[in-house]
Amino acid sequence: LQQQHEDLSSKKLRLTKPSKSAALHVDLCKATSPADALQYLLQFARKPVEVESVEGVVRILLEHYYKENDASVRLKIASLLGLLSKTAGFSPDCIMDDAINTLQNEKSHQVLAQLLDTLLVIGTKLTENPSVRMRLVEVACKHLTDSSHGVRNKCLQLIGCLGPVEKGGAKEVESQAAKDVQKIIGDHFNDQDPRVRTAAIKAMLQLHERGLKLQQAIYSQACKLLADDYEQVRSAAVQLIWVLSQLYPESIVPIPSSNEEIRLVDDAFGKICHMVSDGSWVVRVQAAKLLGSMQQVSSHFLEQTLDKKLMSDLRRKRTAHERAKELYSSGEFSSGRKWGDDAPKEEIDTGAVNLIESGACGAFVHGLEDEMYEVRIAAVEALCMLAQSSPSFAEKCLDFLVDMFNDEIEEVRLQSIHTMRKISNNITLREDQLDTVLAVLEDSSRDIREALHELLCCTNVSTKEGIHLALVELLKNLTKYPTDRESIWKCLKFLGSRHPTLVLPLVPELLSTHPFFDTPEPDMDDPACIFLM
Amino acid sequence: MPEIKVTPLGAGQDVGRSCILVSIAGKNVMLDCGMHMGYNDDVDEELEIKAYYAGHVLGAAMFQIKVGCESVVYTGDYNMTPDRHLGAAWIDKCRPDLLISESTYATTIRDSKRCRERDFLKKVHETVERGGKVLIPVFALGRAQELCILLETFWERMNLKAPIYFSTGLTEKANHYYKLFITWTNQKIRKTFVQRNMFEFKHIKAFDRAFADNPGPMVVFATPGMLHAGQSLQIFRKWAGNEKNMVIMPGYCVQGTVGHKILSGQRKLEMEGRQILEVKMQVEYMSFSAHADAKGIMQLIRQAEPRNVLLVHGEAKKMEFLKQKIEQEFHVNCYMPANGETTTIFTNPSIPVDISLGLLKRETAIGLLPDVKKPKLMHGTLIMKDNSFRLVSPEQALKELGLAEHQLRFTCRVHIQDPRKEHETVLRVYNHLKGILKDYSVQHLPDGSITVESILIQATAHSEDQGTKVLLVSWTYQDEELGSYLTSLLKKGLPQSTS
Repeated sequence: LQQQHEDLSSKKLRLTKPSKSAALHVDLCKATSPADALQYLLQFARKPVEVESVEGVVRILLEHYYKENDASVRLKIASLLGLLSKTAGFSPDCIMDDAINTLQNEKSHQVLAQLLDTLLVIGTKLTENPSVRMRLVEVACKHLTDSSHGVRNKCLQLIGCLGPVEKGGAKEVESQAAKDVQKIIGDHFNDQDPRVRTAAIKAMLQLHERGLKLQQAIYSQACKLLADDYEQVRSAAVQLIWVLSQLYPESIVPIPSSNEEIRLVDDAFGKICHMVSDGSWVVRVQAAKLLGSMQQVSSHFLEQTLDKKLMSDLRRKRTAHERAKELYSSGEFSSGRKWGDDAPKEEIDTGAVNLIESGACGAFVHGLEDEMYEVRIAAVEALCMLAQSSPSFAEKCLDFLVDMFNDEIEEVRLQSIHTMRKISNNITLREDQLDTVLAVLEDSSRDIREALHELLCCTNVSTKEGIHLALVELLKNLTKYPTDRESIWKCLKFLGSRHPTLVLPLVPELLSTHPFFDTPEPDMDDPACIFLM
Repeated sequence: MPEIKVTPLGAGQDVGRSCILVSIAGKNVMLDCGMHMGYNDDVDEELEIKAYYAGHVLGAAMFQIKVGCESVVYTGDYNMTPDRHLGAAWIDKCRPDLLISESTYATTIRDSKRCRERDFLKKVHETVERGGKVLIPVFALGRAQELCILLETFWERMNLKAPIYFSTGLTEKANHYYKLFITWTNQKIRKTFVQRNMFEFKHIKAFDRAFADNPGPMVVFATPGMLHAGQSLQIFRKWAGNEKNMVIMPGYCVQGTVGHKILSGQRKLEMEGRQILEVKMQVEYMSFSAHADAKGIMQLIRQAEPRNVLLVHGEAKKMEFLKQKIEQEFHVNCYMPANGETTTIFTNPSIPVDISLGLLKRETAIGLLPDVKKPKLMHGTLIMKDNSFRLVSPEQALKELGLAEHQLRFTCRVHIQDPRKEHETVLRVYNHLKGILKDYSVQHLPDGSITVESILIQATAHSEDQGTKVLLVSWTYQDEELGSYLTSLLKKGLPQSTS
């Protein structure tokens, strides 16, 4: 049947030839049922239209649009209008008015949403023209009260993409308009439909991306959205909070239910950390990823992320460190590692301790042992970025990172090894850590082993025994997987040149106890490089 | 006031026993009382039950029990930290009236799980390397599988040769169930399953009683987990005298058991028959228990957002501590009844009402979009029939119930001083109203009357005083608001005409 249709239409096209618009017109007039008309439109959509005939085609489509009673056909026409507006070289300003007019009497919400989408296309092609954008934004604002989420959704998207972002100064009026746009979008943070709420947050993020400086006032609104019932909303809200924390890191925000204050970036960090234990893994991934780029966070907040037990109390600035000690020594919560230390000790002033709800504590501990490997990878990446900018944090997170070398999923192991390599300038491995690291040399995956060789190339080892251990393990590795030869030699060479003083006393021992070194090839590489030092 | 009653029969401030009786909306539900094997327990049709993944052991579930709008969540045992073979417990924001949570580890917040795993492996490895034997008392399902997978992969990676044994029969049985319910395990096992079943162990073999006397290193998993009887106790007695050996207790031990005694540091145990057993082997404790720790419990409460919390399965002293934390943190009531003690919780259930589509559309067309925070006034008829509530338009209600409609009309006379002719007065009133009520349709009808929406206004001259005109305003009950507004407006008189 499909085949027949195509034959028919191609014949028709040949007969009625002169222009595309005329052909379409004839086709649409012939259509006896909405299904027919749809079929024609679908076929038409498959063929390209030359720039010069776009306007004509649009006019024909509009004409039919007004005559058409069937919503699905109007929907298709609306989407075609958008498609045509995208034609390279075509400037849609000539059809903008007509497109806006179509909105007026449209009853179907679906078609309305599609028409707004078309306007968005037109608007994005005419971004140079502020008055056009202004007009489209006005149209969108008018439809924000529509009862359909789809329409409100599109309106917000349009406002986000086309809303005024000009900075104040040049014209006071415009900066006022920019403020208003934020207000309008912000009002929809509380929309009854989660999809609209998400769209509102995304629109706000879009404005930010286009260069508008978001107002700090949005921060408190965004924080409330973190408790939304829907994961898309929470996920977008996390992003928005991150953006605001980058814009106003040093602003001071109050801590609720206390009269103390805190830097905005620290507050945001705590909140995003909190989302690392969200119920939805999508949100958890998002949160874990963003943590990595919050380098401005204060170091004591950062360090909390590695301790589950401290809970949230460190939020209070002044007494932070004292309280931390108190919590440790009074053994408020036990760690579960020793038998019998979970009996409640004497009560400390519980009124002063504000538990769990807030704060960064243990965020990475949670993230690194998440059930989804996506979250674990995101956490490892974030750990890497934070460790690169903070040597003290790098030192502290080492134990956790080393533990990740034993993750059950290969990708996570690989990522952890790469991460460790990236921060290797900031760290020196203890022997027990090195032990765990080296154990991975037995991994059956070649990627992992090679990554590990690379890591060893640039690792600082603290003791002579450590180096010895590394060499022994590498040799074991060589026997087990002879194909790793090249990679291991390179590794040995760098290891040697990095720790000349530690290697030197080992040389005689190595040469005698490992006759393997006497075979011609490794002899060239390994001792040679050691003596070079 | 509707209420939910909870009476723990075995689990109140107690560990190891269970059974809780819950009365909700006139229905009695017994939780955790064992199954009625072979019987098909009738489930009431008003009772809704929803299961959530609980981690802990394969197949563990938390249950939401719902009658109408009242609901209770019973967690059973759950684990918020994923392990080597299971995922973490998860619940949606179901906002139950009551969350009944276990609280075995009410005062513990565990370190990173990976540290524990590393420590465990290290201890086992060291003992085996120096030729010692390792006894790991476990319960049949759960920790056993987790630790098996852990050791199995470690043995594989480190290429170790010492044998690992597991109490007879259990591995095969467990393996069978894990094959059946592979979708309930964690991400890694599900992914690996495409190539192979991780529960088909290469290094772990079935244990025979005679093996305990074999020389050389070995690792044995044996039941039960608290060393109070059975195979694990037998092996323990055999190995306790050698300091090269080690026993690792991976979980909780109830007071009075051998496990509890040795963990508390007791080195001389009195066995049956007045026999004294001296414990020379190393005793290690490692919390591999698959119960949520304090932070996990708090996390679950945060996710579910219950209105009340009730703690069971825990020691009273520890529960008290956690209870305080919960009340402080979430500002909800927290209870911890003892066995046989009944806790009553008052609920404030919302009552669902079905609204007819027509009415809903009409109402939303009038007003702005509904706002969650503001109550909305609606005009309709509530029909209560057959235990259900419906909100319909008055017309539909009349039709359904076969009632005739009666109209209630208010009429009001307003006197106006105006010497002009009647139709001129009418025109002045018309212009006045038209000017003020811009959003309403104000019409001047050919018969000389004025309508504002459906409100009728007529003017007649006063029978005695021609200079006074009487305005008759008439409106239906539905238009009461506009009607009374109009009369008060007209009572203020007409503006002085400029002409």
